[in-house]
Amino acid sequence: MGESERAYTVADEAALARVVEAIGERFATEGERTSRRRVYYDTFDWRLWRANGRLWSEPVPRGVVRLNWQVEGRPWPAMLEVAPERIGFAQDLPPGPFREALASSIEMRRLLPMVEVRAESRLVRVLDGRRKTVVRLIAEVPGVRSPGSRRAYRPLDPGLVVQPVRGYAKEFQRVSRFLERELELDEGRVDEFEVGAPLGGHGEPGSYASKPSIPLEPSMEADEALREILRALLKVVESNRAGTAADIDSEFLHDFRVAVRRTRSALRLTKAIWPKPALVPFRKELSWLGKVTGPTRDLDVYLLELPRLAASLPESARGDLEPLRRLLEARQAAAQAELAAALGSRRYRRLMDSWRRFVEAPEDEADRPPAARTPIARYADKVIAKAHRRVLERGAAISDDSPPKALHRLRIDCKELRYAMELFRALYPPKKIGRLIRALKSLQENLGSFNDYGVQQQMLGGLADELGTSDRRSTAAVMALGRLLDKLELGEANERAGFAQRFAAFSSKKTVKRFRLMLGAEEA
Amino acid sequence: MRVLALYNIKGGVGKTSSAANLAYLAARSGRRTLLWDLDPQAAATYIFRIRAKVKGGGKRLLKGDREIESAIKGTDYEGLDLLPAEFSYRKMDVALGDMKKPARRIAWLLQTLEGEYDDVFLDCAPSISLLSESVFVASDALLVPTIPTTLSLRMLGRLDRHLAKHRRFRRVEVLPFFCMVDCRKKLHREITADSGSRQDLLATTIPYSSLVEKMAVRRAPVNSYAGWSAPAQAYERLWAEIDRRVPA
Ligand SMILES: Nc1ncnc2c1ncn2[C@@H]1O[C@H](COP(=O)(O)OP(=O)(O)OP(=O)(O)O)[C@@H](O)[C@H]1O
Ligand SMILES: [Mg+2]
Repeated sequence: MGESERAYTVADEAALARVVEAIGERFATEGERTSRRRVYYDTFDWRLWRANGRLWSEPVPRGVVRLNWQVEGRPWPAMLEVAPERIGFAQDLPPGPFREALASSIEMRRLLPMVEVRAESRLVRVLDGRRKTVVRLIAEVPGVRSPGSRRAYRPLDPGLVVQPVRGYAKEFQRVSRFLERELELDEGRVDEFEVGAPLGGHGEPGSYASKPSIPLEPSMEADEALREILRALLKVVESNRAGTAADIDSEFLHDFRVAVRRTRSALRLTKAIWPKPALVPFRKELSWLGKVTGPTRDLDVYLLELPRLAASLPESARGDLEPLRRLLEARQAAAQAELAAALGSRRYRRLMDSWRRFVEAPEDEADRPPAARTPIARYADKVIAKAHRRVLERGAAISDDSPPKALHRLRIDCKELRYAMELFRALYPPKKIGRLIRALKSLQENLGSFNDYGVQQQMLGGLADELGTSDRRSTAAVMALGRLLDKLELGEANERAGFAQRFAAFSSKKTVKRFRLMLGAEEA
Repeated sequence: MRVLALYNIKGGVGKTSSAANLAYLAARSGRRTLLWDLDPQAAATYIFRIRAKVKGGGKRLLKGDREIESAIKGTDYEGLDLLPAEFSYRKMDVALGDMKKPARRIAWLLQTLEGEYDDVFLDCAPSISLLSESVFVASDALLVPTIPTTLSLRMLGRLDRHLAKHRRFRRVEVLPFFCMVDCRKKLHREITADSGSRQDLLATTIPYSSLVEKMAVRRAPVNSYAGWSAPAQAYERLWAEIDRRVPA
């Protein structure tokens, strides 16, 4: 549809004033002063930015703001008017296609205000013989700051934006030509979001990643490389602490726990490279950290799953789960309070302080076991090979009659193998390791769902007992729960039946050979 | 996409003034809006300072030979575009007569704009013709400015009877409102007070005001240059009422 707007940058305010003046001398214009305010939003892990998107609000009268969303530079066709306090979780926004599309991008994460923009601008309208506006120019001096801060705005380079008016392409070209050929302006635009984001508390866009990629040199000594890995994991733990304690969204705790679990796995997998007594206190304390964060995570999962479970019930029975939801929410709040207290405790601080000292300081030469000096590439081969062997052995022993416990153990072994592969990922050709991780993932999905179905049945069964049948509402809730339990049982049986095939694929000659080729001599 | 036509069999009742102001208000509220000037007099086109010229001519536009999109012009207001009229539009009826399914023509043309606009306003010429029938089929509502006189009310009755004749007009809702109401005139007072007679009548009335007449001189919607004035305020209330009555 015709022309699209063009942007130019100008060195400073004086230069911008000269440009505006030159335009006024060349064309018939009319001008007015305006201003613009914006707040950009994104999730803690920059999901919108990573998808090349920008989401921002602009105040409109009546105390509401308008939410705009651009992906790849194209505006989302509809905008949304909302009270600013409703910007948070996708489900708090008014229903409709905008919300649905946003929900599939941000999922369970909360939108956080990331950048506040304020711009003083001059709108210059180029007129034709009828004094009709045929081109719009906006000359502005924007500033950015962290949202809600009292600080002064940090000024950005002034800019000039030329907007076409539909049906007046010739005039637009004439003005653009004047700016480019005669005034010799450079096309370009300051990215307010990218420049402004670091002023907030969350660092550069994209700086947080729940699974940081850790660059490793194959020749690094094993303990040195492991320290590198452990430092990266510690950073993930620490960057999620505040959001976990404040329960901003459930993903903070999720990432926090995953990082703790990976840390513990890393230590378990690499026992041989550390001086014997050094790790004992950490193992115990990190296990404590896993334990105090567990109950809240379980409840988070139930609450996240509940809408999906409810959707599997007939329309008429969905409301019956309301008492269940309230019970879960109350539990979650209680568990969360305990968790927040643990994260604020002296015990937690001590653990983090000593752990940081451990991962940052190199070992005394005298204390280093010989394995610590192995080049990391060789050591990683060994660790992965061992974990792989364990999965194959344990899986081969499982028959159709094996109890759930056997599958549970295999699930843990698979996790360990997965962590090992991911921790050392950078040491292997991306395509090869990627394919093997996918193969493992397919088995893990089966084991994971099987386990989830079992755990959910236990949990919901327990809740049914607790809700009791004292009144009509709880009776209805218990009946709805009964229906859910049937579905879960069915799902569990399906996954169990699917196991043999998934494991056969993972232990196939072809896949095993691929592991062997990647790990070289270690995989005997 | 919601299609709203300003229509009355009678001329000079405030169709164009209302179309311009309502379209302006719709755009200002954030809806992507198109005003299609269907009157060869091109009064709406004039108000928005746009040349009364359609690339390729009205007939070709109607035939669908030329993309309707290429004829659309941006106005001075964000979110508001206009599809201009030109003098050749007066031959539109003859052209329509030669086409297949003339009554579905406007609806068919508007389909190509689906997704691009939220609201489309049609400013019609005062007549019953093939073109206006095509407007009845395409529209969600006919907004009928009505001067509170007995003659005008009789014309409304005539419109009702005409719309009742064909099944294909059933879908369109008729929403009359009083326009150019002069409180100094006894008759206006009496008729507007007795408005209970028609259930579909909109509650808001647009007062007579020289500020509205000035639109032709200022060449802008009254709401853009005299937003505080009584007629502008009345148009805001009218728009809010229509927005509520006709689901988007
Ligand atoms: N509320 C009003 N108060 C005073 N004058 C008005 C008002 N509304 C419209 N007018 C004037 O009445 C005349 C006719 O108005 P308008 O052109 O809007 O009516 P119309 O129904 O579109 O006419 P036509 O049938 O010729 O297209 C114009 O001169 C206009 O300025
Ligand atoms: Mg008119």
